Amino acid sequence: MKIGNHEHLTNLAKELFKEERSLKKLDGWFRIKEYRSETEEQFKNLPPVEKAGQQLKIIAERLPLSISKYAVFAGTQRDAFARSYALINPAFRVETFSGYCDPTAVYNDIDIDDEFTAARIEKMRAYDKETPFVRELSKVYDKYTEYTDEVAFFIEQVTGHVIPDMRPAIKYGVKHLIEELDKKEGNDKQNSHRKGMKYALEAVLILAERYRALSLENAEKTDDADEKCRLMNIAEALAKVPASGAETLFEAIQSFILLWQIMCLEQAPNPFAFSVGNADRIFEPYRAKENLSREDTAALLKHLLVFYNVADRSWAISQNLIIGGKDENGNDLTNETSFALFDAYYDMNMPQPILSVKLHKNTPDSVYEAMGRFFFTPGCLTPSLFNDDAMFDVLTKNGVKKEDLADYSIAGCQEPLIMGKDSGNTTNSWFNLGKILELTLTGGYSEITGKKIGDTDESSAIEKLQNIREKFYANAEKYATLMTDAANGCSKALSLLPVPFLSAVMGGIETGYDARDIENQGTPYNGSGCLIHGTSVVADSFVAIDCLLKDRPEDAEKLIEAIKNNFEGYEELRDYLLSCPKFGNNNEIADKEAVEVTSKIADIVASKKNYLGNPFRPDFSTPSTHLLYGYWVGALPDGRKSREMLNYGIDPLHGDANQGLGFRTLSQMKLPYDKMCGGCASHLGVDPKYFKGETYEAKGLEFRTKIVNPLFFNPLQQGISPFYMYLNITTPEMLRKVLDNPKKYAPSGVYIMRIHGTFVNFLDLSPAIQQDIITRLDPKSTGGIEC
Amino acid sequence: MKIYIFEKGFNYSQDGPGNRLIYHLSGCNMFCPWCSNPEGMTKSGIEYETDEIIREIRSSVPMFFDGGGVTFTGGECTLQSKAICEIIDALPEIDFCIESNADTFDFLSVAQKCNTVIVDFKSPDMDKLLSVTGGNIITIENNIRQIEKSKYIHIRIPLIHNFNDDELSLDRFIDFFTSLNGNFDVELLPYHEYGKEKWLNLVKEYTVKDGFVKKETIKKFVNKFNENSIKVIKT
Repeated sequence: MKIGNHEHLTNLAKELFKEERSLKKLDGWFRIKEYRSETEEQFKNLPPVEKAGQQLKIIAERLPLSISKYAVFAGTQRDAFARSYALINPAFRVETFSGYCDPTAVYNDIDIDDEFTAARIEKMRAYDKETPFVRELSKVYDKYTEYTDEVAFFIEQVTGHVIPDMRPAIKYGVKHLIEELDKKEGNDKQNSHRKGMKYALEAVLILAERYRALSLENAEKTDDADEKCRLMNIAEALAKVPASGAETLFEAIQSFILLWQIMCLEQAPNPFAFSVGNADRIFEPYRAKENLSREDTAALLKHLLVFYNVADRSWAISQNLIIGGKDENGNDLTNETSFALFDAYYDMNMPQPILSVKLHKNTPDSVYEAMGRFFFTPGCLTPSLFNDDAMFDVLTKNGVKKEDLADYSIAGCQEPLIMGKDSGNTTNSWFNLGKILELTLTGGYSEITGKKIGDTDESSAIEKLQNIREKFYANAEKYATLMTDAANGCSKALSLLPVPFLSAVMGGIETGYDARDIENQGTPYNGSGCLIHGTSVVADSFVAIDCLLKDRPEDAEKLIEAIKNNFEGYEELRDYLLSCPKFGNNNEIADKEAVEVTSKIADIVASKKNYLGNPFRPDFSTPSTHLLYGYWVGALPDGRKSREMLNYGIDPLHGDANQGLGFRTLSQMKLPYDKMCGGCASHLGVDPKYFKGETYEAKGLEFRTKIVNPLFFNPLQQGISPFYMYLNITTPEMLRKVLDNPKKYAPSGVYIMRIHGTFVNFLDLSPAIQQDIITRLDPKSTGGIEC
Repeated sequence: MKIYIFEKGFNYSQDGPGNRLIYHLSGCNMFCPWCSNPEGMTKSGIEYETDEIIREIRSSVPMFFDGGGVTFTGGECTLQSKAICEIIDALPEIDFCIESNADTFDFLSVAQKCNTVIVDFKSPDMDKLLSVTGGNIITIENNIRQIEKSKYIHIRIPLIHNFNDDELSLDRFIDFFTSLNGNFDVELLPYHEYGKEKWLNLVKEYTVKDGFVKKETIKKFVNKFNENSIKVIKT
């Protein structure tokens, strides 16, 4: 390549990453807020979507731009993000976490200095508090605070969390999309929304032109011939893209980066979890056209990967990039770019963007061989794995058309959405079954604060326990109604902030409606998510109650007293409860109960409608919230003590599955995956000793045989197979060593672990999250027998 | 019928082919001081009904991939031969394997019912075997000879310094193996101390002092076996 060989480009990418990680300040989002407030008057008579489009143009015009001396491409995400995400902040504490429900809390995440004075910040905060969006949203939170304070459920407005389809914009150019918009005719609302989309698309052209001018200016100034060459290359590309279609891989990536940048700026601050989709399929046509080598392709892609890392802790979290998979006819779609991406990821080992891999029963050996190095290099990022065979069935059952199946991808952590077509509002609502069970048992009183939250139930202890299922599901129904009403309130509030750019890459050109519109569906698919917490602790609690009523019914009253007292003074009873069958050990009774809880709760959630009348999507995932929500749940009849974590995702509660991986797999195979259309999460912490292969490639194949095939592609699976898992192949002892002696075990200062759908630098985490990761390795649940 | 088990779980290709459900049965007729499962020496495991185990095996079929099945080991599994036979007879579709020291009278009746037979053959030296482990070489060799007539067997030798890694032991191993029909293979398991912590947890003295075997010794055993057409494998 004229800008240098792949080794040189790789060195630049590493320098660029280092430079990005040295950035401790993020203030672009604040400027954006100011630009919006300053132009409020100017655009006050415009309809909302047009106003949003015009304001995006202003942002593109005014935002200070720069191009690093290490850059190969122009563009950055950093102006869209604040230093907000709690879990990667070492100051994070479970005890004080209260969600992201206050949209003005972000003003606490900017450092006061001479430029951004306290007065300037407070002025914006005060302004923001009076905006219609914040007022509406606050009303919703105020109305439901009784339930959200102790997290019977939680709700949030969902920014980010979709997978845009940039392919048409890259291929044909933004000007072509604008022409398409101009050709469309519709009603007044559609015309206005399309006008807004047009403005928003123009914003990216403004940004591109400014970057082009800056490249030329910098090229003029620099004495470094290499840098000059790269800057001229950027300028040359930007003279063409994204306005017109890309022809080379370089142009395609450059175009993609600016499209992505403007999409994030539109939702600043903190549009978490915008996700790429199948990057290998997006870029392969351009690589193939040039017949670019795997090494050169990987070198360019390394710069794309660096783009996803924002500042010192990679604050733009949960941006998912996926590789591999099959088409709707079962043909494998792995290509040369897939392998170049693997190479780029492995060599860079950065916290973002998170890597996922789609597998199917005919995935070639080479994919498993390529993955071996990730799983078996300590401190290396690891892909999460999705099962296309199962996922296609789940999505088909939930109304996705055959021609769209191959385009499903993962938004954020585990949420399956159709690229460019699906507005899933995936993290809209959060359901805490543990708390609901607690309130059912106590007759509406919180064990944590003593507050009266739920309905009064003065029935006797024995009566409560005998009818626990009926009472629990009735309460679940009640809270689900409240929760989804509240969640829809959040979505309605958010609709006051239209997103014309996003809409243009999410099917809005065709439909003529904004992706957040609450009256007309702007995207071909739409839904709202509900993350369900605590299935196995509830199931195990039901089983323990049954056992108690059978073995020692005289202790019914004692059980209620014991959980009210967090088992203090009731140790014998707790031991008994702990000894009752638990999910995750291939125990018929416990597993059946877990299936039933999962199934019934999924039905309850899916029966609720969102603001457009589409079903809520049950998502059995708990992105560290099993820890946060567990903190607000009192003792439960399964023997779990007050404030302890709930089970993670669909997994057994840590410590409860102690028969090893085989039995745990058998239990998990029984769950009703067909009902988990919103997603699910499962984590395996596996001891590396379990794998004997002598090379990474051999271990990769062994990993398929021992872990993937039994769970994903088991010919004896009845019903739909599990479709998601992530792993950390390490041991608690190893992680303790890393903590005790980071200089020895993580000399680079980076030790990547996976928590839920995201990579984290283990050393960056708060102590509570570090301990959570160690606990959840849960070696007894995944061990084999070695003796 | 009752069956006593002190540990169960799956492993892959370690104790028989494919992915297998391994039952460690309680109780042993030997007292090998290097045993990695000392908790299985007494019959104090968890009591199950054989019916429960049969149900569990049936429900575990999806995990018997790559030609897997069920392996009974121990302790010494053939001490509970009646229970094992009842389970095997109830599940003709399942691939069974035993891992045994072959030092029981019931060994043959159980082994005959299994597709795979693994024998832990600790020493060819009658006196040493008796004094260190309590094993009876005559029974063991007889059982191996008998079963080898009709079944291919996998013989494992735990190679332990100061016990069976000397020249004389090597010669005796070779003498015995070359007297068989060749319907077997041999695997050397060099001494390890995976079980040491378990011994200490059981408040028992771990008496092996210097059991580790030199690499050259292992090589020598392998070469000598090969020279004598004794098939050596590694699982």
